[in-house]
Amino acid sequence: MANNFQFIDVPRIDPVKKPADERIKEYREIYGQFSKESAAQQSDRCLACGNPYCEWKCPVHNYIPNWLKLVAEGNILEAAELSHRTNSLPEICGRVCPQDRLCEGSCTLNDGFGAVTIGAVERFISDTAFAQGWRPDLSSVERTGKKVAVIGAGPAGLGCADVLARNGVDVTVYEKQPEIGGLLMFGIPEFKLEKEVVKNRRKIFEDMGILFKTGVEVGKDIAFQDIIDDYDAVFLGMGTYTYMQAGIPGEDLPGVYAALDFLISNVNHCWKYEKDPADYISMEGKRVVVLGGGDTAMDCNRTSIRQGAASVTCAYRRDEENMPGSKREVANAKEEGVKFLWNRQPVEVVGDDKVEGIKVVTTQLGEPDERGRCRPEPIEGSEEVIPADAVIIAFGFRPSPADWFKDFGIELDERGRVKAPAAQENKYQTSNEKIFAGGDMVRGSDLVVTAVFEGREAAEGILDYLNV
Amino acid sequence: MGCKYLRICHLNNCATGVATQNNILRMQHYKGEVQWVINYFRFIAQQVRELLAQLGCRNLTDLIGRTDLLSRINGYTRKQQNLDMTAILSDGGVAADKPRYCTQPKNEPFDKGELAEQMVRDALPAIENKSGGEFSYTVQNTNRSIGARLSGEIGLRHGDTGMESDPIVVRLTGTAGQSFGVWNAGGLHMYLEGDANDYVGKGMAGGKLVLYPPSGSNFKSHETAIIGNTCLYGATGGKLFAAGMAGERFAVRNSGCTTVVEGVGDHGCEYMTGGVVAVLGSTGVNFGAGMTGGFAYVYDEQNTFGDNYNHDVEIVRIAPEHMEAHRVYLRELIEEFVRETGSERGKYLLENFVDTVGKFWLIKPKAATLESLIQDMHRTAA
Ligand SMILES: Cc1cc2nc3c(=O)[nH]c(=O)nc-3n(C[C@H](O)[C@H](O)[C@H](O)COP(=O)(O)OP(=O)(O)OC[C@H]3O[C@@H](n4cnc5c(N)ncnc54)[C@H](O)[C@@H]3O)c2cc1C
Ligand code: SF4
Repeated sequence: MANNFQFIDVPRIDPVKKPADERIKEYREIYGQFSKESAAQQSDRCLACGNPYCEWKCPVHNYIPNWLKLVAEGNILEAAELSHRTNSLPEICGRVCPQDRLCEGSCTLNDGFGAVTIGAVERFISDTAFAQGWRPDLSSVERTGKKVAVIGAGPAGLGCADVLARNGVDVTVYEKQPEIGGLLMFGIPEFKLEKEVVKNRRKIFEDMGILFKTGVEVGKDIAFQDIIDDYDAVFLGMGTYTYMQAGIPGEDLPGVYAALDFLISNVNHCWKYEKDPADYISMEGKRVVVLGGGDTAMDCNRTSIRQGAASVTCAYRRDEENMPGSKREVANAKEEGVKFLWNRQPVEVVGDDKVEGIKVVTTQLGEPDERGRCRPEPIEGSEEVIPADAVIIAFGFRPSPADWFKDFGIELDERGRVKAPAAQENKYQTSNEKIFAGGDMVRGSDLVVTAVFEGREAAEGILDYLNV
Repeated sequence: MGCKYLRICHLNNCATGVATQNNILRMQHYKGEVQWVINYFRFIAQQVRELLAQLGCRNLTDLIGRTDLLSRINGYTRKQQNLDMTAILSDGGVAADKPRYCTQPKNEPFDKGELAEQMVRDALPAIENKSGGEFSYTVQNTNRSIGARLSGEIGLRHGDTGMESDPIVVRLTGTAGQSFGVWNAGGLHMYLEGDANDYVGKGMAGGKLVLYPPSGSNFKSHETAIIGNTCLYGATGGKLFAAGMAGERFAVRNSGCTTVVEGVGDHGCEYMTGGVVAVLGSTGVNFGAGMTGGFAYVYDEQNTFGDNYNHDVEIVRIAPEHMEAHRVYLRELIEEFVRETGSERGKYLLENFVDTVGKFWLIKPKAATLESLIQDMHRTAA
């Protein structure tokens, strides 16, 4: 029953989190699920502000207060319907979005009352509706006879395919990996997003008529020219995969790994996708040092812990305040036993024929730069060597444009991102009018939800372009 | 000032503490000075006047229906540009010199309130002298809001409680129209032999309303309606005793009145926040929905109440040892009810109290403890 003072009477209560000593033994999600009652009770805390700040902040502009109200009233299927109107992957965003700086961070109640548990409710809605057999309703869709190819089955590609399918377009998605999802599958670890969720999503999309061709790399297994010839338009959502390097001596010693290689090898190992068991990078019994302070670094830390590393140390060149990663993930990593060394900048990987340690200097923060972030400056004479058997470099990703882009007149900006602006006649069109693009490869590496949004918007651009 | 344009100003739950009377929100979440809010509203009013002046209008009502003052902008997206606005901008075929809103005089009520004015003329000296007195009338269902005029005169001179010790006693026979005893003040005791329409005791603040069937009636009072729907809506004090059944939504939003009736319809004690309700007979469904304060007793003769209450509330028996205080209180309440109304039902329950007490439920809000109820009880009794 609606209670205008629910936000005072009932505190914010997150779904229960498994204790750290239990969760480090398994690759499972660490947060539990709401019951129908607790979801309703928490949803009822929403004030339904006339100016929904959460909705504006959410990159896909979910109708948050509206579905919270439906959940408070117990109308889960209606909530699922509404939630899918704006988001192609609500059950996934509910799990992996950094809500503390998106919807929940801008919730009115975040100021002194505890924000509404938006992410957990979003996830609850779709999980519950799916369990009850709910599926997106495409019965009134009229076929347009148009065909569109989507390259890359990451969040951007999936968002685009979803909107196209709902508008009667035949969609084929090409994906070079053996399973769909992009970084959802081969990147984000299972303790944040269980892979069954992605596989279930695949089934739902397939039932909507989307065709997935996995294990097909465009440009290698099939020529892009064939695709251009066969389809009325093409969407590119290929992500960013050039690893940023540390640029320090010793970086190529055995025992130094790139973050994503490490994470992917773990998924391949757990899900039996690996071509050769020797590809598995195991940290069991090793002293691991992870370099970096973003979400990818946290994922490497926590995966190493689960593999049974002897110790895991995370070294970051700024202080805790200035970390780019989500505070929630840092807290989870600490609980699981990761040791943090703040204000340490790596200067050299030491070792003769394999990693023996990493030399770091202590830094202090200088004046803020033009983007307002303080530049760390080394303190002289502060070098120390942290002993290590393995070093993981998690410094982020730069664009990785395919070499065939230029053959098709797809222009890049100075940082290697595909140029596909939102503000134009057909949203997210590239310099080749038949080709659209979105997600990390257009924005630079960012978030699942922003990639979903660009994919969906690009689909609208494509519909405009095809005049349907 | 902290306003975040939540647009919930009308709900009393403004999270920034600006537009609310809730103490927690005002004390802990309002970031400014009271004076700032006053200034803010001054500025709004000022700006509204300026905008009106720019449009050449004197009053807000002059703007109603003036679609000629609106002009269309182009729209940013292709979809917006394609919107057809003619219907929304149309004048609906009303000529410019014709009124745009209802200018008819209001619908004059049929009831001229003649009986109510007569009562005031009769009782005014007794009110002014605070001497009390007794008056008798017959009523019929076209006499609405009987008692309200007297309560007004009493309240004006002596406040809600000032005349309690020297009450005006009014004895009535017949059928009272809507809102009998509405806003009843302390010091007005009305006895009605007969029955009454909806809204008996709405918003009553004090005093006493007593209703009983005409002498010589041969129906069973606890199976017969004596007052209509939505009685005691938002009452804050006083007592209502009715020897018969009440309609739906009995004591909705009651926040302080003590009352005894012999049965209620659906949704009894809805949203109740205070006061005591004793029902000496059957109830309809959904009893206690949204009830957050006060408590109630229900005599559950047929063992059906378990299906009829809303799970916003909790029910407990008063027969067990430790509920002695409740048993004593209930007994005294029924005794008073019988004294005032002569209720046969009440007499029967008292005579067999050892047996009948076992069939009473105590109904309380989930959050309230049994101890806090007893404290409330003493407060209400005091
Ligand atoms: C370790 C890690 C953790 C992260 N954690 C989070 C998080 O918790 N929350 C969050 O919001 N974001 C997180 N992110 C970021 C998020 O995963 C990405 O921003 C998002 O996945 C980008 O979506 P995308 O569709 O643009 O690209 P991707 O997800 O990278 O998908 C691109 C797809 O295209 C395929 N592809 C590329 N080239 C070809 C080709 N030639 N032929 C066929 N297929 C091709 C790729 O195999 C891939 O499947 C994380 C990123 C990483 C690396
Ligand atoms: S998609 Fe992300 S930002 Fe939007 S409501 Fe869901 S959790 Fe919040």
